[in-house]
Amino acid sequence: MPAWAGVVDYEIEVELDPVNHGLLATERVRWTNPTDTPTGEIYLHLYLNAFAGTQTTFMRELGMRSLRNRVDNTGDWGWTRIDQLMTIDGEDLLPLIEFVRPEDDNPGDFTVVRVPLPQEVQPGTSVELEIHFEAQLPWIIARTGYVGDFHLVGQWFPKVAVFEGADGWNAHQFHASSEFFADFGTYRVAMTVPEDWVLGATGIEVANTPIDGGRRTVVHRAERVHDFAWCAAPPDLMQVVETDFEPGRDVPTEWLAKARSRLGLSAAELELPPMQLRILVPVAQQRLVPRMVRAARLSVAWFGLHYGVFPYPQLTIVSPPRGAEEAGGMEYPTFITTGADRLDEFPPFAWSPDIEVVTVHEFGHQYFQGMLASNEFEEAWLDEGLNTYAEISCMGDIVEDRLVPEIRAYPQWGAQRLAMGFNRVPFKVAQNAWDYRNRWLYFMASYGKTGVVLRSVEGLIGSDAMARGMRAYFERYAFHHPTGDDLVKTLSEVGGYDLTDFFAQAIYADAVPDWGVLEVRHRRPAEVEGFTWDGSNWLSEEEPGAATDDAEADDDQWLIEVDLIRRGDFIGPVEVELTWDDNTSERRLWDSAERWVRWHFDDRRRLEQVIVDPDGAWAMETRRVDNYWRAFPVREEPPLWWVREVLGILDRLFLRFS
Amino acid sequence: MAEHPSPVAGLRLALRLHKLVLTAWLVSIAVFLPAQLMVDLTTGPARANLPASDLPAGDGLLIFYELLRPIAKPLALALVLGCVVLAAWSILWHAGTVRWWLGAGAARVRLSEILGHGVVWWWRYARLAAVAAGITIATQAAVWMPVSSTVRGADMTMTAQRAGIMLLGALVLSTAAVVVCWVATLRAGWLLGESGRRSALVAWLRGLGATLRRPLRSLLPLLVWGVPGLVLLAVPLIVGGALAVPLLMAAALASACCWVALYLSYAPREPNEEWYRKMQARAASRVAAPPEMADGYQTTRIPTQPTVLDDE
Repeated sequence: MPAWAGVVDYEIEVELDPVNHGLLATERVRWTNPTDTPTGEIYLHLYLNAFAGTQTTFMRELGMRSLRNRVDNTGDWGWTRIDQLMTIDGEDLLPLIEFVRPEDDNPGDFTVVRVPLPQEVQPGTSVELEIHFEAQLPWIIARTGYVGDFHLVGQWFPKVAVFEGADGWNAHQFHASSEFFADFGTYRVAMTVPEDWVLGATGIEVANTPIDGGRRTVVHRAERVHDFAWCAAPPDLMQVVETDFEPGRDVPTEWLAKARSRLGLSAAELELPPMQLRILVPVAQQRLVPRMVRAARLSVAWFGLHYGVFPYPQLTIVSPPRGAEEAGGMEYPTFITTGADRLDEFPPFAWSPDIEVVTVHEFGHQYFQGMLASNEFEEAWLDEGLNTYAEISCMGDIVEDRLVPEIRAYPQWGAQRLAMGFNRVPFKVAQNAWDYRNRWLYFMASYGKTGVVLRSVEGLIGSDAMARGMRAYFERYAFHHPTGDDLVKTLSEVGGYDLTDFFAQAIYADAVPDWGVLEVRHRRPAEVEGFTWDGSNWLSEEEPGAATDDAEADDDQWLIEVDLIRRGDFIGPVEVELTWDDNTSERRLWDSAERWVRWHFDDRRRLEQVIVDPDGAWAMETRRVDNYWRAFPVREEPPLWWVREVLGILDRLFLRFS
Repeated sequence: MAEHPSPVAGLRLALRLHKLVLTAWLVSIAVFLPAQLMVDLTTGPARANLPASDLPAGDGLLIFYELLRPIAKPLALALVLGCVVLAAWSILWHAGTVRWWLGAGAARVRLSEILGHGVVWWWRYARLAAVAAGITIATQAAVWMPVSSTVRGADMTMTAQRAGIMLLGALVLSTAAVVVCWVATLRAGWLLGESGRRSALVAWLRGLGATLRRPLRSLLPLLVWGVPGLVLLAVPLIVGGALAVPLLMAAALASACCWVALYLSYAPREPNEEWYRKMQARAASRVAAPPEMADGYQTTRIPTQPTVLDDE
């Protein structure tokens, strides 16, 4: 059955204690077995327990280092405690629960709990549980918690893990370098907060009822989502801006033309529906709202045109207030947090693309992980990496079409490639999020390297084929749990190029691409001397009919040898551009299967320039110095030309030994 | 201390000290030469292989990084050492110039004498430089931190226009603070040379007082010599191309002249005779005192004997 077909449905009633930053909740969850394998247990995630103290796996992996902008508020820990757990028939399961640590057996970690069920859940049937729990929000960390009166409530309720049939339950502890994985379902969440507070949440508001004690209960409903987060704050801190996305007004005409050209679709096929935008913004950032709204509209337009319609009626965006920056830059279904600062109103801060980048990136997650719900624990690159690729492509179009005139500079792929260049130890992308040697490598692999890898795929199969491939991937796997194999299969099929070997080296191994021009030699043909074969005998030079008799070396002819080398262990086809001294040029393809290759030319022209990968199609290649070769002047030597030659030789020697 | 700083007098003195100007020029080039050579020798051959057309996105940066990476540490060291040597040299000639002018040496110009004075008083002027740097940083923090904090944390009652005015005000104020600190330091340099004055902080505060008493007069040399001194250094960067190196040389020379003229603009009109007389008297008393009366202290340090006080 499809992953979206109501695998897990939640009904939660929760009340926020605004003074002590606690939650008191009742959760009714119905889980339907989507596989053909029965199971007698269910696994729940209690993610807030990751912030219960220094002994949790999350905190131990985090070490002494601060997590982004977290302010050290020692003692303000967070936790979840299940007070009651029973089946819908009233059978108490609380005594049976067992905390498990599938990755590290850390006895201080309480983020995964196994619940034995009284009877097996057969394929296609359901089990309903009622859970009463209490939670304490931590001082803001990992995009959840509070700062003053600002509350961002994420990963707060006991959440069912993913059952994979014969492979069992896919449940992981909360790691410092990982995000989440869950099934789609329907959420109906009633949140009780102080009456005058503003509230934003996943889904749409279906009820808003004042209750006694100066409180009100706001009910949100969300369908076909795999998580639920919300935010609450007093009105003197945050305000709500209600606006909309109207395609007739908000889709740039040049983008529509580009998308039609790239995807080969008609305007009707690219039609986008209108939707609501709800922005929670600190009062201090009010002047930035127009820019935030524009960024959100451009995001909805670009992703909608390129990948497919955003099918939800509303998107909620939260820009955290000052001091709560750690809450920024997070994605939940139909609910994202961004980041801004009041100084962004003024030059030179206004020239930075930060507001657009974070909005585009977080909205992009509505597709990559929101709807394409890949396993972020095991294949983080499928959401962060694909989204980084999409983000940079979208930002490229925004900057190229001058849709945000405030932006003065955007490095596009340059910064990502440079960051890749910093790393000198090869590393594999496809691994569990907690298995990377360090957190920097997790970020590098999941974000930058995957983005650059996909940029290289674009260089290999062409940007139109890539655009069509990415759209096909979304159309095929939206509301499912796609894997890396699904992506490779789709891109290969649509791109018309088998990318299995490419991904095997780029993602599933640590191969590094590095090609170069090893040497280019020009020499005159030697005079013909010695014996020549006339078909039956060897003739000496003096004998009549000997070829050497009238053979004179052609003074205008050059024998040219071009040696190319593959220094890296990545094998793939690379284009080489040869430019001659008459300003003509030609391009050849080298499959680089061998470590090196020698190309011979017999020509009256000299080679002026040789460039390996002249278009930079292989964005993954970060050692580019030796990709370029240019002839030094032959006759018009500048003064001290030899110095340059010697340096050139030394340079080549140096490069060879490096 | 001259009450009226004069850019013209500064230039005349700078021309008189042309050897100092030339030395300042050569030192300013020499201190960064190792770094420059390192970069040129490392990147030159590879740059020669690059095509004239645009490189693919990001290639330029990657190539530059790849070439400089192996020499990153020695290059950083060369740059830091260059800056340190330049700072030490600046303190040296500032100190030496003061003592030369205020002392009897004003009568004649000998570079070695100026540098010798500079060595003797180097530490005193290093303290002044540290005081000036500390005060400048503190004033910048005092201006920007509250303004930034107020604007970032302001509620809706603060309009964008008001926030903009605050930021612009802070920009003007911080620029003014830099200028005032700069001028106060230049003036303090001459005050610190007065006999008996050892406290760099007191000298700096007196320099500030003198600056604030006559702000426009004090600012004039900075506008005439300081601003061109900075602008000249930017010219080669803007022009670039084949003329960059000769232009840089010429600009650095002109700039060195500007810096020396700037400092000398704040010099007293005449050498400080009173100070000179005190020095002379002190030297005479030391020479006159019998060794046993001097509590075992013997010295061979005798101030330079003046020939003529009339320098012009």
